[in-house]
Amino acid sequence: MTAGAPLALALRRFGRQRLAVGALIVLAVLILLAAAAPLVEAALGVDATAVDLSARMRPPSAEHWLGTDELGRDVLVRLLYGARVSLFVGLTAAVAATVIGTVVGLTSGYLGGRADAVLMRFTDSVLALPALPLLIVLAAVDLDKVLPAPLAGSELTGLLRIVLIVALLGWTTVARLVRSASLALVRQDFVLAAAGAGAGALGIMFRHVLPNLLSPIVVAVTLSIGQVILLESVLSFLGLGIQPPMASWGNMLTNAQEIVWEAPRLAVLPGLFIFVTVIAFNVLGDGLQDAFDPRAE
Amino acid sequence: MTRFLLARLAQSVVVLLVISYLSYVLMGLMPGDPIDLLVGADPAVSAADVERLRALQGLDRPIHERYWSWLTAALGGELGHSRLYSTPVLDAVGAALANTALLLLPALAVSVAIALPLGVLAAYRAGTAVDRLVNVLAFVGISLPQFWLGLLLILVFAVVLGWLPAGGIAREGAPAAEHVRYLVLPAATLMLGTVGGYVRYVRAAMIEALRQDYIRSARARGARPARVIWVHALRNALTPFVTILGLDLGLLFSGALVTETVFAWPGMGRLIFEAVIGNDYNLALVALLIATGLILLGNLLADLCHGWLDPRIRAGAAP
Amino acid sequence: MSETLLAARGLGRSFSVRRPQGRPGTVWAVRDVSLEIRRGETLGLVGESGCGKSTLGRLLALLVPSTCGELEIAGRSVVGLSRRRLKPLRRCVQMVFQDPVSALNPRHPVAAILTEPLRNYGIGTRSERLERAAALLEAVGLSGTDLRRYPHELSGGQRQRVALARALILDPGLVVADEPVSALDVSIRRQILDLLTDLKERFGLTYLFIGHDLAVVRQIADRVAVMYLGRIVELAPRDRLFASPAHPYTRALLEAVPRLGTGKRSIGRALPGDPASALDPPPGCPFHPRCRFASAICRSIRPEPYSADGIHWVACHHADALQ
Repeated sequence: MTAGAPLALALRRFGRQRLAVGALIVLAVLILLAAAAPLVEAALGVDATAVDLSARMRPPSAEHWLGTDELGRDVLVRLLYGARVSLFVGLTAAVAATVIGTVVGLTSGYLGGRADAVLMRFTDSVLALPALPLLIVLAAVDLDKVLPAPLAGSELTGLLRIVLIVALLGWTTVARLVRSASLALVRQDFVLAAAGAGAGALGIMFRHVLPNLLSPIVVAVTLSIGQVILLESVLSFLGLGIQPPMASWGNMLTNAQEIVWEAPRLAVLPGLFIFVTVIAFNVLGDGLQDAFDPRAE
Repeated sequence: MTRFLLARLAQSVVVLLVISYLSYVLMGLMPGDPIDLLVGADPAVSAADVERLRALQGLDRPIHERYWSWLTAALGGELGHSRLYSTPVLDAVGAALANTALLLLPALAVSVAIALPLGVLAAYRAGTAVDRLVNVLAFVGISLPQFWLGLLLILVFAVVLGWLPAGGIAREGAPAAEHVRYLVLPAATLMLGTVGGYVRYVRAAMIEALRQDYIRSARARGARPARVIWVHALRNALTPFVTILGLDLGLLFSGALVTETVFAWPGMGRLIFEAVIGNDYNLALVALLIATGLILLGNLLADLCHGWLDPRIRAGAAP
Repeated sequence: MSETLLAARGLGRSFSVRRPQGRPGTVWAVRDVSLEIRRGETLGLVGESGCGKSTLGRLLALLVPSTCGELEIAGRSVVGLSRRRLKPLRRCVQMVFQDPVSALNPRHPVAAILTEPLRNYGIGTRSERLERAAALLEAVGLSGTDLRRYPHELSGGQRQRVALARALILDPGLVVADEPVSALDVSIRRQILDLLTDLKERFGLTYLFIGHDLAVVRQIADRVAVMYLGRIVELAPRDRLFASPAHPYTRALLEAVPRLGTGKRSIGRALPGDPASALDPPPGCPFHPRCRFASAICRSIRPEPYSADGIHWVACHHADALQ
């Protein structure tokens, strides 16, 4: 890729935005820490899930850098494991939602006409759903009644179920964005020229339309990761998301309300992690948007 | 306009029907149906009794048949009783709606009152330090998890300072000041949760409006800058903002769920949550449908306001 | 008479639209067009914006399917052909667009833009395709090193040159040029027009040159067709048309030219009133509401194209009287 490639230009513009670069660094550190969670666990000689009622709500110490929770577990290590959950759910659900949204939006924008009308009516209807209450209903569904027993019980299923639920309601923004962007693109002469030069419909979609949608899609993914992490934490906080003993930032706060009097630290720390992660993704997405915006040139 | 309203109404009815069916099916997939609960409460119930009870309550019939009988009963005004509240379902929902309105309206009013001037300021000074500061603050607002924000407010104002109650709602007949004391923290949480998004929205719409040719020409004709901003540009920027507000108003009637739960505020969101968790199917179903209906209503209101604010659309009716 | 490259008979294209009141309606952007393009000539096509000339260009370039009528390219009928059958014929007609910005995919470097058509048709190896692209770039006045550049690094004129190279890379017989210079600076127009003439000779091309600027069309066209509200109202050799126009519409256009000086303004301004809406075309002659010679017959019966000599065609009830 030469220096003149649009991507290189965007990267250069991105590099000038200090706030967004800072957010990227914060996220990189967080990802490294999350990846290193088992190492930290081993190095500190603690166990993220072992309950020790004799060591409840200990203040920070050499052994427990951030103290222990109401069941005597190490808070730091649980926060790091929680980061894995939040990042995994955030990333996969945002990507899943984006894939659904892109397929719907691209089909709608490229085909136009009746297909477009039907798909957009459907998207509008999904937008008119009470998202949070529906998420709760979906999250409360008893998997034993839907799936065979070994699947229903596994930790991975629990994770994927949250991913699926969030993606199922989260694709609409991407769909509308991709639709309007591809509507504008399809009218461009280079799409017509490609057809005249013998390109097929799929070739046009993948070689000409989709690459030009890359920047709005990347921005949409980044911005929706933050939203997904928030939703996951809400569901887990309400006891309907990630189930203990697996740690997630949301479920670490579930009991915080009762013990906020005794150990405010336990109410503050997980929320701070959620907040910092979400704001980092939002700032990053905003920075990418500015970097990709042709009007910024 | 009538055409538009009728089309909207038809679409709303379809959405409501689909949602009622989906919810009905999903409720059936919840852990513990009424019979399970009965068996759990009384170990003496035999397997044969269970079968008889299932048949008696119609639980042995296929799901669509059960849905159909529920729907016909519901359309006949027979919405059933709430298990949790031991009242007719509508009574429980009505009280919750009133409480949510009490929480939502002041929160949104303050949110808009803060967002408008801040958004306009940031747009007018786009690119300056003021703009960047407003932008960062808006991001903070958007990125705060509301339940955590609620916990922090409780920690500071209820636990440490002891100024305000940690949750709940004033008893009926209590003086107005008492009601306000209970209202402050949850309303502040909701306000802080929405204001960031609104600021960014107003800013974007204002920047777009200030770019328009007629704004430039108003400036060139020598209109005072304040007039250009507050009269010409804001009017245009308001149109999309009002649409968002209408949508949000509908969404928040059930979407304030988290705040209501943290502050034990007996509103609509908390009602749905409790009904779902407590296997109160009748209540959960009706509350979900009413929540959906409110969103559709908010959409419609937004569209009507949109038409009223945007002269182009008004003129479009008579070419 | 030279060989016919393209022949259209009764060609039409309609679009369904939503009327202001919300009822669906049909617009005929091109209606009942019959014309021939001969190998080696440049046929000019003029008309106000919105008269359907771009749509006609796209119909003839096989980019838009026709709603009705017959279309033959190099003696083969193209109507009703499947996508797969159409593909080899599409090669024969390539298009150059008005807006050089939207005509090139901003994500692709020039090399990719030029080699894509060859790839689509499975022509040559990678290096052969690049070689051919470089050769064509030089033919349009750019250099092989420009292959690595992206559209946003090129000027408007350079982009239009790239678009021309892309159109020529498949060796088409016919190039449809849809107002190829009207988006360019006046100083660049001359160069691109000269390039078009030069390329025509070197590659033995045939042009359909669409424009709204009569001065430009006069420079480049051998024959000129005038379009109004989706129909061709007059078609004649260039000198004939400019010297003795037969249709009142053509006359109005020509009368307007000297007053326009540089010919920079659109010809639409030259006439009183706006063209009738294509949504509700008037009965009779589509031009009668703006025509100072209109009589009773013009308001009720649409004139068919007619020619006394088989060279100069005109669709007007009063053409003979006017000339």
